Amino acid sequence: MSAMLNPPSPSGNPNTPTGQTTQQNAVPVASAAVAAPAVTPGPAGGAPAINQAALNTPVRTSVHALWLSVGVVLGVLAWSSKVLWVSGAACAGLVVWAALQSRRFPWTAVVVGLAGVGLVVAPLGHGGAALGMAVLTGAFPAHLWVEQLRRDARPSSFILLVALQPAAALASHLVTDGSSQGMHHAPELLQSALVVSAILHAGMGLVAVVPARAVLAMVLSQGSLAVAGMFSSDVGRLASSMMLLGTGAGAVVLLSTCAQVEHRFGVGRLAPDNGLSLRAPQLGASMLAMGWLFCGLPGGITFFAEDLLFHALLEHSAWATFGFLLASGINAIVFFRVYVGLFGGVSRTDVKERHPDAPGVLVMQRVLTLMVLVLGLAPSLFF
Amino acid sequence: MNVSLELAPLLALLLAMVWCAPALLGAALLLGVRWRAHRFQTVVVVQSLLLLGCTVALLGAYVAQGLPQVEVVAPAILREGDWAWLPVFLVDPLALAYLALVAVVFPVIVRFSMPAMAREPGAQRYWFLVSLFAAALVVVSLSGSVDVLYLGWELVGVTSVMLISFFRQSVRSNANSLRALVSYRLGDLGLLGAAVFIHHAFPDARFSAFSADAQVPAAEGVALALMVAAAAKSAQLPLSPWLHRAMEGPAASSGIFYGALSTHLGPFLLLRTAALWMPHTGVRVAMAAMGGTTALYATLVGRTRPDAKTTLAYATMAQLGIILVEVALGLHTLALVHLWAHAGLRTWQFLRSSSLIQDFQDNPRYRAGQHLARTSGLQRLLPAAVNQRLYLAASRQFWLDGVQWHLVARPVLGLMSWALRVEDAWLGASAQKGNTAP
Repeated sequence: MSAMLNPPSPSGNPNTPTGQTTQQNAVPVASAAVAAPAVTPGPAGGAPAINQAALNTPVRTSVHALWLSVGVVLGVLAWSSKVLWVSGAACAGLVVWAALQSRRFPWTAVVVGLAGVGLVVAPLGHGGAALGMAVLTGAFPAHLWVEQLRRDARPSSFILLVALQPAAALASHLVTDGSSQGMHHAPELLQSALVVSAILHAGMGLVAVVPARAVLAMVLSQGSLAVAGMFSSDVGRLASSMMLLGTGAGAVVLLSTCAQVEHRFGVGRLAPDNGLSLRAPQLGASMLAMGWLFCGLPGGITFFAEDLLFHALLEHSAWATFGFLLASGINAIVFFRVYVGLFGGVSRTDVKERHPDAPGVLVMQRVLTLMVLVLGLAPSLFF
Repeated sequence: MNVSLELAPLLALLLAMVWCAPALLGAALLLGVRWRAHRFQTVVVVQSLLLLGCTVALLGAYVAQGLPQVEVVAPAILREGDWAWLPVFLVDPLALAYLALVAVVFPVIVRFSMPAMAREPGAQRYWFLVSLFAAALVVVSLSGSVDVLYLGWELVGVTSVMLISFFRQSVRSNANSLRALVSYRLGDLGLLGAAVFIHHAFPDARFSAFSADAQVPAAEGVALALMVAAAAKSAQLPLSPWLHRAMEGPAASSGIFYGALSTHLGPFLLLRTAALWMPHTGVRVAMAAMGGTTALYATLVGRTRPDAKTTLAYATMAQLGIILVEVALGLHTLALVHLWAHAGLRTWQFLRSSSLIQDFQDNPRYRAGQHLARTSGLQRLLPAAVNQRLYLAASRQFWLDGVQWHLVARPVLGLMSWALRVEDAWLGASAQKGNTAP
């Protein structure tokens, strides 16, 4: 967003884009406290410095417990109103929390959690369920627990959490299809809150300098859109399911790209001189393809999902629809800003390949991108 | 409305042919297939020739049919209850005129790009984007509903942005492409908003039904939204500052996007939806005012630009403003002829812009030692002091960039930065991965 963040020059050629860090403050950031040891290299390769954040484990654990307890309470409330996919999201949160504690991923718990989501029918809904869902999918300002997890969890755990929520929603949609009488018509106030949330998330993505944070902002913004759609009408529910699929797949690809870039090159901040396009062209291509599809470019499932969603929302409120249009428009700008902030420019000298690439990640990204494309080219076959 | 059995297969063939190339090249790029640039180039050459051939065939079939409008409706791509996403295509003189323009200009650009891109790193990307652009333009030209038009419209915008940042090592290219994207998204917002409201308020969303839809109360609002879309794509005030920044890409892409085809989509959109807004005088006045003001603004600013491509960009902007005035006045045939002629001239000028110095030196008047600079009539008429002030203001683009920055961008971005700082403060225990520097 350098052009927008920089006072424009009369010639139309901004000098040094601001909003993207310069070389000085674009030093590689140590990996997450959970993933990285408490000792990180000192400045200029000198003596190792103690990573104070990593030593604060008890404090951070209590913060997790705080956020997750909110999620669990809401999950229980949602369970009692039989909107189980909200509980599924809470379950996903718990799974990640367990992963943080044990440092070993409990795959069995994931499978059991997802199976539980599919077992119970969710015929009721209304505002309470929407509120719980909004919190658990990170509507502003309740997104803080998601952001907290992003900062502290291992990237793989966090990506899985983000991917699980849409999966839980989709499972719920598949199970509850045809029995959705109670899932309609969230209160006007909640719709408005979701509009504001979508715009604020997108706006925060415009200025975030950490790539994963900016991507998360897009994901949360799209998530707010989807939640609002889920409570508008049957058309809205279909649109939300499609959108959540696209959002989940897109979040995995974009966040895994950010994680790969940080792991391989130590690039943890957007800057005009990261210049990874020549060093990691395939990663860049994956991000570019999925990023545009994620933002609703024709060819991806999100294109039809957004179109359908806006039509569904317009039944309720014209201004809310306009707000969502605005948010989705900003998301595309956020994505492209992240892309050029990582892959644009000429690499500065300290951007070096520290670890080899992970072919498995690239394969996973391509498979997901192709999936989104196939779903988008022939949506009627799947929905 | 007439449904032609002869035209439908031809239309399907054209669409299939032009979309094969970007699909193939896109898959190759995504999957990391190591094809040489030459193979990409061959695919696009074939695409351009097929486009030309199919367009000629379609034109012939249309003339042979003798019907004023032919609408082809394909099966729904997605259906839910009463809602359906229908691929509707419309073949009429306007569609064929724009399609013919695409079919003529595209092979020229491809031919020009072949030597220019031969040794360029990233040529594969260039060929893919150009082929995608052509395919998207075919969809826009033949669109029979605003949904189909939006599909192509958005792809045109994205390919345009990607080509502005073609030289990815250049920080300035990246910044300017982002700026163009902001304007494009504003335009998309207008078009998508119009599409949504058309579905919501109009009995029929097809272009062929717009003359009946014009009586709907929401028609005026929809028309204004369409005007925003046209203004963004054609760089009309107040959304014009992106165009001169878009000159960062290769000369061929500048020619095809900003000289010929992409920027002319604004007038095309307004001509296509004319039945909807023509009865509304307020919309026509607003359109004429926008076009006229832009023409004046661009003429003045263009005279102060120091380089060829930027001067051409402002000249394009001025002509587009005049075309919009013609459209608003109801002179649609004149506007279409103007559009065609202007697109042809600008394509040639943009393609020649790289060798401007050589052309200048080859000019016999220059060799004879004659002074080539001209003084305009306006300059002679105005007093020197006014001339100077006008020049100063024009050289600063009438401070349009600064106004937009101070009134819109800075407050919004400042508010968002504050929100992020609050978030960091709240989650301060682990700010290392936050948005403030550790």
